[in-house]
Amino acid sequence: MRVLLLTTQVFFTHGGAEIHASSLLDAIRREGHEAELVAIPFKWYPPEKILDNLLACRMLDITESNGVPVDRVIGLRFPAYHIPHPNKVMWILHQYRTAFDLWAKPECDLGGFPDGRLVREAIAKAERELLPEARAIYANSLNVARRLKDYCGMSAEPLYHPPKGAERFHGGECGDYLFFPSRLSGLKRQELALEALARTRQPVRVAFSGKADNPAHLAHLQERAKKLRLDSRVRWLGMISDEEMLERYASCRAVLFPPLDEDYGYITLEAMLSSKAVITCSDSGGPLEFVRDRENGLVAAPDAESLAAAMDAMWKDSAFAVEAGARGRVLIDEMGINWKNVVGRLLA
Amino acid sequence: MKLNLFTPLPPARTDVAQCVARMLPALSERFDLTLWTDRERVDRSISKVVRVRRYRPGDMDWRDLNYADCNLYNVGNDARFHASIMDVAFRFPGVVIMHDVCVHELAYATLERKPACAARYMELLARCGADAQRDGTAFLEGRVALRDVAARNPLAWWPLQGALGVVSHNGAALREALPSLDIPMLDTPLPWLPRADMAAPMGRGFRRGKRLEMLVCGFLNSPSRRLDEILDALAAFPRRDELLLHVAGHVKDGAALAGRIGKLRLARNVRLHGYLSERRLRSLMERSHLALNLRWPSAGEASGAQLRFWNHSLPTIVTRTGWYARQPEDCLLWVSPERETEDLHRHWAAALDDYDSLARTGLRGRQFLEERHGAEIFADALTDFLPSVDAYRSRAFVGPLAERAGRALGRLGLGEGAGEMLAASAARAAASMAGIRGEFS
Repeated sequence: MRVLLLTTQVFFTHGGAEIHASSLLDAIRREGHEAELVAIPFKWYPPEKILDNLLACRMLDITESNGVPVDRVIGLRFPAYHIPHPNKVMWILHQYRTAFDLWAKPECDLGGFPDGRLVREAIAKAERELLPEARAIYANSLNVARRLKDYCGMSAEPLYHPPKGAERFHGGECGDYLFFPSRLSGLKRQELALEALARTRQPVRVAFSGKADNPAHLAHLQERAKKLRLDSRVRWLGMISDEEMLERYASCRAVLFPPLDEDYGYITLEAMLSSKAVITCSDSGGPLEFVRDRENGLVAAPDAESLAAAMDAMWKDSAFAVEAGARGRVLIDEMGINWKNVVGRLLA
Repeated sequence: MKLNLFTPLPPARTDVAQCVARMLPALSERFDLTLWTDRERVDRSISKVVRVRRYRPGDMDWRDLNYADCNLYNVGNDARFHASIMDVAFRFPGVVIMHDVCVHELAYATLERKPACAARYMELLARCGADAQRDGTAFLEGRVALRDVAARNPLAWWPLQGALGVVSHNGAALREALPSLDIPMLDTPLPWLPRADMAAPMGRGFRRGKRLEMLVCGFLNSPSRRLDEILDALAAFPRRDELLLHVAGHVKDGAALAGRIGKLRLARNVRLHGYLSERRLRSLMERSHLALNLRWPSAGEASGAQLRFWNHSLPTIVTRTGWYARQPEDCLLWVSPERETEDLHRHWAAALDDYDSLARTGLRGRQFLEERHGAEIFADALTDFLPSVDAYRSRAFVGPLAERAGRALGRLGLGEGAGEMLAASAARAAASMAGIRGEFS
């Protein structure tokens, strides 16, 4: 089969979406198919640019190449997933969130522009009109499927996939820090973690890894940590190598991951593959599809006090941290999340 | 449902502000309403019942507008009250409540506040055709008055550029001015809140031997209000000494008007009051026997003043034109533009001889007001209308997007055939995003 993957590229940004696309590409090739990545440059401001990008996508013809048909396309990200093709299957990582679940939230940049509402409605209309062009719609997670139902009235089947290099994650000692690996951005809520850390009663320490979406955000977080007198309890690791990441997972006490309504969240799966418990929040979205409170992790209310209590509890009770981590690993093994299954469904 | 309404508010001296005050109870009962004003002063009677916020068009937080369900803009032809509102309306699409079909003077005054006014004005008129351009040149060279250019080119489309809907109190006139209007339109009577304590129709019964008191009021600057013609007709009326005309409202040159009244020897027959407070105007209406509410030419607007006269059951003489011509025959006293003086004389004579017959038109007007112009009726109609605005909003992007694409393609300089082919392809793609299928050229 000749397969194209439709995604968007935000220059100089590398996160879960990019890993997802390249992992899928590798997996399809491993199954013996020809596959290419079609990455459309995407800039979302001013808002009219979103529609310009969408229009550009709609004007592309990817039905064949050199006279040979493209047998299947897999749509991953807006607006690239709206490039027309008669044999398209959607595997939605997430929709354009500021037009839907993030609308009117503090993170919604769209609302600050005079044409924000119009563009939002246009995106919603386009989703409702164009998504049904696909022969099947899968979502990255139950959370993404739920949003699609809530905002567009469409059903999608959740299709889980393993994180990159899943087989390399391994357990280790129960260490003396909580590990928070993620892009540094408002939605990941590193700031909430700092506020919570300042309220802990135990000598909890947190190691943050990941690159900031915007350098100013890192400076803001570091300034906040300083003001809260957390310098000795916080480490900013920045971008780390795959090897270091595996080790950080293996030797932490537990993983701290309290994002706002995450689509899926590799961090959860990577933590469980490393036999580590996960501390998350009740509004964190994707992680809640895996984390069971007091079983394989802790689920706190999304405020600094509650999160601090969860961090304290995990710190104080290292035996629970170890047991919960082991239960997480069992769960992930039992779920049978693997690429072969994913590719089989997408190319069926 | 959360609504923002950009509007003049009392004490601003405009009928639109009064109209909003009357609508408030009905609107705030149905909607989570925020009123927006660019003025510091707002009557307590308004701010104590509804949330009022100040705005400056150059300093808006668009979140306030984006996160409401709909934004409405009250638009009339007077730039003092409506220019700032248009500054916001052009940047943030919403529903325009058009109180005047002719908004030429507003358009010009808005451009006057910006650089390159003349060029922009001519650009505007270029969209109306060659005659309009000639008119515009003549105006800019001082050869014709703006009101004459406005009468021929009302520019009704101007405030509706990018709008998501329009509310008109005179839908027939708007449709006539804009036959190809393609945004949702609500045609609903100008709202009023009839007050029970004002329905005292026969109490003011005219008695022979006393003078019959007439009233003309409002913004009287425009020649369309016919004040000069009324004075001429009064001077020529043989029984003029049985009449007393009250003139209450804004006139540009009071001294000139007084001089003219003296010249016509009408000093005993005309009393100038200037702009009156609400209370004093009401009292003047209560003592008057007859109102004069002429318009020629008509800008097509629904008349708040007329609703006010009906509220007082005051028999009213109007010109058979525009919005007035579509009112019930037996609720008004009519003059034709061609026989204005004769018709005025005829009605005045009839009023002096048999006032009770005339008074019945005022009574019927009051009944009509109660049945058709209730603020509740307006609020219900608006509630029913807003879903169509929502539906339109979701596809409103197609036109601007196709235009933007067309401009970008035009810059490629591909030659006519290739350019057209690409533009059609872009238009098709843009339309498909809103679920519109078909061929485009």
